[in-house]
Amino acid sequence: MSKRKGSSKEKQRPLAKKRKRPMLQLSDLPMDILHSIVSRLPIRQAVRTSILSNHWKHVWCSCRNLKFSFRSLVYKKGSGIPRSCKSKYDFIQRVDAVLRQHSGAGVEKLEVEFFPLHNEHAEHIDRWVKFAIASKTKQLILDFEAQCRGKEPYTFPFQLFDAATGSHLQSMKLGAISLKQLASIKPFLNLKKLELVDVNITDDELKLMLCCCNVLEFIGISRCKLLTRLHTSHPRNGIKHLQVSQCPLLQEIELHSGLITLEYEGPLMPLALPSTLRNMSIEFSDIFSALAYVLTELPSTLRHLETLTLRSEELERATLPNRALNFLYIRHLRLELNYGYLGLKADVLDLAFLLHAAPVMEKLEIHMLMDTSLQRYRKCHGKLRSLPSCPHSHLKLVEITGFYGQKAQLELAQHILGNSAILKAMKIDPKPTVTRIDGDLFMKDGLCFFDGYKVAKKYLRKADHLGVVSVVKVRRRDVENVNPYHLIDPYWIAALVEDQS
Amino acid sequence: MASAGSGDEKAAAAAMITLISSDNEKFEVTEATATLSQTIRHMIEDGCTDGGVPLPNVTSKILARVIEYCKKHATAAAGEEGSSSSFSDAAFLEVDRAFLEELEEFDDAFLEVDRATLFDLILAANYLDIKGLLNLTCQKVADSVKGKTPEQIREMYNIVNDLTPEEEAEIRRETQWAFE
Repeated sequence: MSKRKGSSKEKQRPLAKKRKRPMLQLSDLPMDILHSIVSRLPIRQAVRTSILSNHWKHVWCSCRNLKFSFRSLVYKKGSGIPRSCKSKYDFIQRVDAVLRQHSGAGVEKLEVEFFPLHNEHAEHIDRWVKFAIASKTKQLILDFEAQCRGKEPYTFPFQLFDAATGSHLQSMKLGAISLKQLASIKPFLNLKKLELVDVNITDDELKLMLCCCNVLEFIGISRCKLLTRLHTSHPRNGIKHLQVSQCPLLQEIELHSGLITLEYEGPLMPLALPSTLRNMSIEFSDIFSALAYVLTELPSTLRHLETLTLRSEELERATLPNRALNFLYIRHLRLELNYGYLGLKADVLDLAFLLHAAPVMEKLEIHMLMDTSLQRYRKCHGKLRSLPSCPHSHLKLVEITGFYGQKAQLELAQHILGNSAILKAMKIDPKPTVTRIDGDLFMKDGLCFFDGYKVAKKYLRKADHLGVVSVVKVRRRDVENVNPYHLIDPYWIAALVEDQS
Repeated sequence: MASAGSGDEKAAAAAMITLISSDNEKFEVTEATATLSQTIRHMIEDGCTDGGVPLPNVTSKILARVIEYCKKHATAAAGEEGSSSSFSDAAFLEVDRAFLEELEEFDDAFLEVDRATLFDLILAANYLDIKGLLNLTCQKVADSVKGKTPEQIREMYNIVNDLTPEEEAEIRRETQWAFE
């Protein structure tokens, strides 16, 4: 507060006279704090604070987060999507304008995400990279999202980085970028996180890159179409988190001991999972039943595996064995299951088998995307099935989303309720929250949300002897005239708008 | 700290710190609560907390609120530490979503204060170097400004526009795109 003393501006304020201690105003806060506040605004808004007063004129110039995207720089509400060449020109101009006025210090994050940029714009992008180096930026994101047909992707200027200039970078993401200059790579001494998306990197090049990042903890590789083998075992390797998705030619992943988190998405492949693994998230594109994977592929020997996430399109029905213990150690199981593609063969109630398979599980999440053509349960659909009892003595938390109130869903929820002795909470959300919505939600889904809410209220309340069930409320008027997307996480709506650009 | 053995328990019970506000009010807090403040953490490390820690920049009204925040978040921090360092069951659910939700609710309720108090909290968090509280309060101000026109912001926060029309026109010219 001492910083306020002697501020001449304060005395001019009429309010100051009335109180013993003049009322503290926003503009009285130390500059450092104003920088921090402005850094939390979208760039367009941050720039606009320059017009508030003399005091505020240059505050935004020390903005610590610079996010440049179609949405933050070019998109205008209500004016439609601008033509590509015009928006490209505007984008470059605006990034340059911001960087020219920026103080060039204290940048935490510089993010450029813009689809149509490629190597013809190298001169501009190089300039931005130089700004990142000069401003000692900690986090650099250059993501051009997809390579333009017939255009050469931007070549990342490795030659600009040496041991000193590269030492400020802690996190880097490169998307739709060429690594042609990789031969001139120097060690990135403090790089902890590296993400490569849609980058033409070969096996050997990746090896070289990993050798230059000694303190790497996280590596994400996605849509890299040249990779065939991925070896993370390297003597000095401390990678704890590996993310691999959609690399079509990848045939082999060799994992090192010490890996804690693995996320994989792609074709089924044999994975020698290290015993240190604690979290795993898997989506095999050629497995059509999460249960089948559990029963046939997943080793039951992972002693430290605590959290398992499985994503799958449920098209087939697994044959359930009489008795099997698969996940002897798992405490948190998360399933993201898509029953939406005519998943008539699959039976949601089969998931009850998981109570058998994971005897020490404490938390179970089942996120479903259902087929809207199936109706919600009504008495005329016949009696609800019930399975033989299977007491579970560890399960405390159950979360079910995408609960449309269909018969098998209701049966599953009832089975879990009836068998979990120490359940503390069962949270039912009629709205789906699975990450792969793929744009196939319709108005009809909105009505299903309401159906799910009604069924949960009517039937689950009755079975809720422990008093643990809570149902996220959906009212009819909320869903009748509204696109169901608006009921879902706004992130997905934003993503859709960006896609349409 | 709760799970520590009897010897440690004694140490934990003894490790109380007295904080003294600018208006001379004394607050006894545990070390775990106090060390959410980096400033106080350093003082403890340097062994200069005997006889209380005077905080001449923080009034009792604000200090009470800051301590309320630290108490809540110290429990949270203890839970998080437990889960990442051991495989034991105890801390597992503590860091779970339900708990984080509760913490979020606490934070939301905590921020229900008038503007002057919010600014005082920011200054206190800055002075005491409490990262979480500083983030929280700065974010609150940022959120209140989001989507507002310059005129609305000036009105909200009593900012007097002392730019001459020429200066204003020049700024608008330089950053025209942001005002479109």
